[in-house]
Amino acid sequence: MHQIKARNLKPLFFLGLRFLFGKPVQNPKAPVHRVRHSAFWGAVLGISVSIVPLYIVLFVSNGMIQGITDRYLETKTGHLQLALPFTLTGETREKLQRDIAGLGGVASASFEVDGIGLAASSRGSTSAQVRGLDQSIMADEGFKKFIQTDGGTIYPEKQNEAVLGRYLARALGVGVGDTVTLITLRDAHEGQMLPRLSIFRVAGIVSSGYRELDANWFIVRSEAALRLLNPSTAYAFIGIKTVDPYGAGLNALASGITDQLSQSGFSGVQGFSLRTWRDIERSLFASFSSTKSVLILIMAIAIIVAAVNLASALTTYVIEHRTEIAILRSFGVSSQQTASIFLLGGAATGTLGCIAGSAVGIFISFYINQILSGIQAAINFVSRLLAPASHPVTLLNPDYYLERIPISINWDYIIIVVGVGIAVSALVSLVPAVKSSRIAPAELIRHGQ
Amino acid sequence: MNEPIIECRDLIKTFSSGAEVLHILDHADFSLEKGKICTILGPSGSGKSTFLAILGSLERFDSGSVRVDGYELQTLQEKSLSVFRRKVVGFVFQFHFLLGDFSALENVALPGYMAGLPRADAWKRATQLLDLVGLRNRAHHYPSQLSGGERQRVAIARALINEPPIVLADEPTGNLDAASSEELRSLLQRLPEAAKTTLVLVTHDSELATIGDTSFLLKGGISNASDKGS
Ligand SMILES: Nc1ncnc2c1ncn2[C@@H]1O[C@H](COP(=O)(O)OP(=O)(O)OP(=O)(O)O)[C@@H](O)[C@H]1O
Ligand SMILES: [Mg+2]
Repeated sequence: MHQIKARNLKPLFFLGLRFLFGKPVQNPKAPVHRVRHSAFWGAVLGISVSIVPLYIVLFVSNGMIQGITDRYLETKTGHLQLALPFTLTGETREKLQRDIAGLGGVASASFEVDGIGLAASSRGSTSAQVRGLDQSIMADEGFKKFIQTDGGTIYPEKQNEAVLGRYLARALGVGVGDTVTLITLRDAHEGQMLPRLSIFRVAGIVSSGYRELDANWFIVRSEAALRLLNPSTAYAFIGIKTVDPYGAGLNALASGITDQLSQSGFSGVQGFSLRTWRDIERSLFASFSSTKSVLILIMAIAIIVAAVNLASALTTYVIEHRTEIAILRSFGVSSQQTASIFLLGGAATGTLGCIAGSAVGIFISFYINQILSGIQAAINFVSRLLAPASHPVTLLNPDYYLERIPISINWDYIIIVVGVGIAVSALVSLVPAVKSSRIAPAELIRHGQ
Repeated sequence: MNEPIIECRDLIKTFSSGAEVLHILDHADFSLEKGKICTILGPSGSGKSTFLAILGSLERFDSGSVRVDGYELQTLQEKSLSVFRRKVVGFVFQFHFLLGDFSALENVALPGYMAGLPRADAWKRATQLLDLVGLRNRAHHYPSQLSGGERQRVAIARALINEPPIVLADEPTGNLDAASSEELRSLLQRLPEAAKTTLVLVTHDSELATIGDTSFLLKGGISNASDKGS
């Protein structure tokens, strides 16, 4: 085995650096007029440019997914859901809710009953997702954190008050203080259904920041929802929040709640079932992760393209410097030594490119919201100049995206990207390395003949 | 009689391009004593450069044996050939082949540094060699700033950095004017004494050929043309 010692590496660095950067510019004794243009910086630039979008996509998609997940968990599904029979009496239910809220690891527990209705105003009508919330929701810090209000309150104080999602209010053309009609279906007798009209005053208009989630929210008090909704189609449950919904403690807590259920004598009773948020929103998160995989794949291809560019830059370098390599070989520099120069050079290029690209990529990701709103403002400014009647542009359509991207810098990603970048650079540098090792010093004998 | 430092027996070298086979060396024998200057003459295309390249292990041969300073070249693998090149021979070509990105001093020091000499030692020895070839004041010039004769003298200094027992020079004055050739000639003549080495010199230059202790003619085989030595 050929051993690589630090002492043997030093001359390689001396040679490699000079090859990569050309001769020094400053030389007081003999000013140099011509400095060879080095392909090195071009290759570094190529790699860093391909790394930057990778970071942006990683951090933005991750931030988006995290932000959307948080909003689902905190404002809608909770971390655990205990489905209840619709017919459970108020006292039993309240006791169960209190018992669960008292369990270790539970942050809050709140009863909710959901169903479908038709909301109507003088301006129009649209389907509505009725959410009957218990007032204990106001003790839920997560809910309060993610619900923003456009006006009014976030929880209806009276039986005949409703809080609407932003886009439902827009569709109905109503504001705080206006009245809306909610039409629900109730069983009459012998399987017949009767529409039931209820009038609500709009007490508030809210948004979770993610339109898909809150577009049709029609929030009423749970007592009102229990009266209005059809027991056969409505869904009653206790939404449970834990301290850490992403940790392993969630399953332990789930079994704690199951124990609590059997203590309370509900074990095996029809209508009770406990699910975690992962079960409830399984398909949503599956689609998130597949979207992310596709994006990462595309970016990985971009990195491979950059690496191939690096390999071809170095290979061109080897071809252009055949004679110099042959000279080295003629005085006894081994093919392993010349190969190492290109291997080290490629790895060094990759390392610099990855570090520079990472710095820029992380910086842009960090300020992505400011950058996007700057670009948006610039586009709107120009388009207003050109066409004063044009609609303002929104870069991130809130129908599909969060209006503000929550970015959290994840060190694991950075380490993986830089590590893979350097490894791939070193790997593709094998091509010029092998090529350089095939250059024979015999070429010098008949040079120019 | 001294043990010869170079000894070739039954050396065969052919080049084949397509169906045509070119016999450059046909059962050639050759031997050379240590510390001498040996000139190799012959018409163009007779294989002088090829023969020199074989002695320096830059070129392989078909059969026969070549022993240079104890190394049996026909038995060596590529890896050992690198060792042979850095320890045993110094090459001077018709073209200077200096590295353009390195100063004269660095060009001279580089083979020593690459061969494992500590940096300070390599640079010190390179300075002494530039002194020997009379270019100490040009140490920090780059090849593009030197004249043809100066470049060739730097190349000679470079060939000596690892203190090789043999220097192989292939028409070192081929590209030079008369004055530079003259300077180079006196330098080469001093070489065996000054650097304790053996010089094998291929040349067309009849003036330069006069410095040889022995002289060989290459034409199919190798014949001893003159012998001023022993
Ligand atoms: N790789 C090769 N393939 C085929 N023929 C070759 C090859 N290298 C050299 N030759 C031929 O071998 C012969 C000897 O070449 P060489 O360069 O050794 O001659 P030379 O004596 O040095 O000539 P000159 O005095 O012109 O330098 C020439 O005819 C040349 O064409
Ligand atoms: Mg020749």
